[in-house]
Amino acid sequence: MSAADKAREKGVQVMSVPQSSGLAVEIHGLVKSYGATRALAGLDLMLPTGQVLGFLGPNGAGKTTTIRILLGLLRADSGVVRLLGGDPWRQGVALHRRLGYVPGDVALWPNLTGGQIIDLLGRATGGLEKARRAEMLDRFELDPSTRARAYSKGNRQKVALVAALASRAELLILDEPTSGLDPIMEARFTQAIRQARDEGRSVLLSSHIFSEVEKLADQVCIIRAGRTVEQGSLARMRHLTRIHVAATVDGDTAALAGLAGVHDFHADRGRLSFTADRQALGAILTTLGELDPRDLTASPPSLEELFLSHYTEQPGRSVTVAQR
Amino acid sequence: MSATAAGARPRSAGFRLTGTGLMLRFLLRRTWARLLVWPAVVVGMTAVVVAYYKSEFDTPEALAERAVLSNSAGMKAIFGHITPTGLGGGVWSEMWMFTAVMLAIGLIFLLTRTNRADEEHGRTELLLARPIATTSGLVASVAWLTLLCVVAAAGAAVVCGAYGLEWTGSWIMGASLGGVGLTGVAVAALANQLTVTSRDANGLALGILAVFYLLRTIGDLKGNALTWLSPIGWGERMDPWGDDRWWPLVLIVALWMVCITLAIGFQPRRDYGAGLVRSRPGPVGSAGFDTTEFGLTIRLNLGAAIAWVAGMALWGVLLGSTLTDMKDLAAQLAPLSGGTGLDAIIALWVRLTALVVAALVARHLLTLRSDEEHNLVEPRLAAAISRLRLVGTRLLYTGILTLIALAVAGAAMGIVYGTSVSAPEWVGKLTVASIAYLPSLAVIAGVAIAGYGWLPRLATTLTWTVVALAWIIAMVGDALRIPRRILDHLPFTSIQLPAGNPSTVTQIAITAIAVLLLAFGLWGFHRRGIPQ
Repeated sequence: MSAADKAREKGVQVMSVPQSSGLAVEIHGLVKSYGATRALAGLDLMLPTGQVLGFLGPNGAGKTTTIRILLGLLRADSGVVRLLGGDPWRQGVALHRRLGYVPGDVALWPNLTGGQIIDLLGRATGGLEKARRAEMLDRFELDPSTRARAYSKGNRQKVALVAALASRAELLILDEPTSGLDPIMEARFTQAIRQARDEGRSVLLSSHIFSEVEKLADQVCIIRAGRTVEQGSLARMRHLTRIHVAATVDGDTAALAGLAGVHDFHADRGRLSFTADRQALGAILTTLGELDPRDLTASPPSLEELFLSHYTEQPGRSVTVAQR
Repeated sequence: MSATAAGARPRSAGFRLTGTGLMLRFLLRRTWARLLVWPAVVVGMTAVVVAYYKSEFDTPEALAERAVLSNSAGMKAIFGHITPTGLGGGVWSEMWMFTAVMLAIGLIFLLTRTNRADEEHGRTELLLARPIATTSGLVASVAWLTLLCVVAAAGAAVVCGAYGLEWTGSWIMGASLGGVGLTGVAVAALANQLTVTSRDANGLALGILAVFYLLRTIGDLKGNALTWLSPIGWGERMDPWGDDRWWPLVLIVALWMVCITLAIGFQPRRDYGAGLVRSRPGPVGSAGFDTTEFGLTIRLNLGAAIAWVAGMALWGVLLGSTLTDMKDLAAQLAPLSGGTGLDAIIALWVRLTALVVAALVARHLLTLRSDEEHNLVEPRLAAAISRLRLVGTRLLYTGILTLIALAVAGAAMGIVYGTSVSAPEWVGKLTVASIAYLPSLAVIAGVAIAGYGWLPRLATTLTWTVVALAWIIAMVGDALRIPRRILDHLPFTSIQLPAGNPSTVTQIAITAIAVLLLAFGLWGFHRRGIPQ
């Protein structure tokens, strides 16, 4: 066993790697075209070291292209791409020793077993520790003696997940890692990602599942047609958007409906619902209080609503980015 | 069929044709170019060879001399044997076996491509979810490929007849070519049902074809009934322009019908994606060498490597034994391809060996492309393997396997022949002669890697086209009227060992071209995006 392996086993490696910029991934103005098709048109993305970044976008927005550029599989046409402080196109091999990757569509060698493939992929980061490997196999209930040919989509996904999560890679790049997993396995995945973050690892999590990103992500990056429309902490993004208010009142609701900062107002026999600008919340609550509410709920928008709001707007108008 | 009946459509036994029309059109749209290539190649080869024989062998003496040669044991062993000695006999012995076997191999690949390969990769699933009978895809492939055989056969016959060969013989000649093609279709249809992967299906079908070839080789050499156990032998015994037999075609069609009936009968009885062989549990992990790129390459290809080396050893033994039978004829042998006498035949045998190994080189390097298509290159590159290492490992592995295959075939041929003439030096001589083809084979590798680096989507077609060209030039280069001074500088044909020593300068130049192609390909691979 090499000195590096020993260090890794003690869990030193993750801490000892210098991170000058404090960013595990840094992308500015990334452009990539395939002939006339522009896959990425000035994408920005930042993953601070030790955090989980949720990477959201509809099908074809450029998530997988971005990830392949980050892996040095595709070459960027222009823009800045830094992965763990290095250039993925030029220094791919050295950087790959420090990352774990789960592709969106996991393809495996059909005549190797899951266990063989896990060891093969684990070698990149210097080989897997037996205990961690066993723990992950156990957690995801994966039989390592089955040939990859016989695995279902979910089980293929588990092979790649076990290999990535059992390693001590300081950065995990996960492209829709839970597609094909059942809800029980999804919960175990959530647990494993939390554990990875607690170990100080950075995670780039591309996903379609909002509840998963909401549970895990410190930061969220939403892209659309190859461009970033929103990047920031989830808390901050919520702060910039309206609050949902629902109430049941007895009085006349006309005064409330006309108030500045009240939007999407609906009233039906005393049952109200509207969205409120945060700046106008005080005035709105005062007016609402005068109506003698018998019931009141106020909730921040879900990530799904945030996401959808970016996609129901006209292209090119990105209100929240402008406000920042 | 009423709505309720449609909902309750039984999937079990029974021959159904629902959706076959759709599948016929679908298949034609996807593969029309490939379907056209084969009849064109067969008809073109026939035309070239017939034209050449008509102009070059214009006296009965020349044809008689040629007939003596083709009646020699070695020629019979490799190219088959029929009785006539005229123009037709010359044409037949020059091209029939080569063309027929090539057609059968091409049809095996085509059938697997349109059947098991689609099923293995899940493409058939979408179609089978439509109101389409499970067998319709198989029926459509078999129908088109059978038609292809008929077209190729008719084309070859018309070409022969048009050049003034006797029409009955011409039709028989065409039918026998098409018949061997049909055997390929039949064997492949069955193999596609039995194995789970397209690779295994091709392997099984090619293996059966090889057995057929060997049976008729032994039968022709010993003059016994073994030839009659082989469909290739049946085609051969149709004896165009000689005894002009139609009836062996009945045997071929009967075999075709049995195989196709079995395949169509088996298809609806088996599970989607299944074959006869079920996958067993394997090791729960791997360690050390197995997890390196080279270890992985060996592990993934071990079965194929063993099959190749064993096959090449058998091939060497076969060729060596034909030499044993031929040595008395040496005096009568006419010039064949440079050099004279038995040495020329030996040189030709070694060249054939190298040309078979060319397929090994192409197949192994092109796995890079199929891996990329199946997203298997991505995880390797994401796992701290550099692009140079990925391609370099595959090259190194292919190089070692190529060297072993050449050496084993050459040594086997040398041992069998050397023993019969009590001259053990042949072992070394023929081993060296085989290995001398390494630079020529490196050119094939160079083409594969250059294609992979720069034109990944065309790499497979490009490489196999070059391999086919190498075969055609080596086999019928004289009929194509390629001047000797050019052949002397081309890969493969530039080597006459052990008959004559190749020019060192030429071999260095060929090596340099191969190295340049490899470097060029690696450069392209480093520049391009993956997957493409």
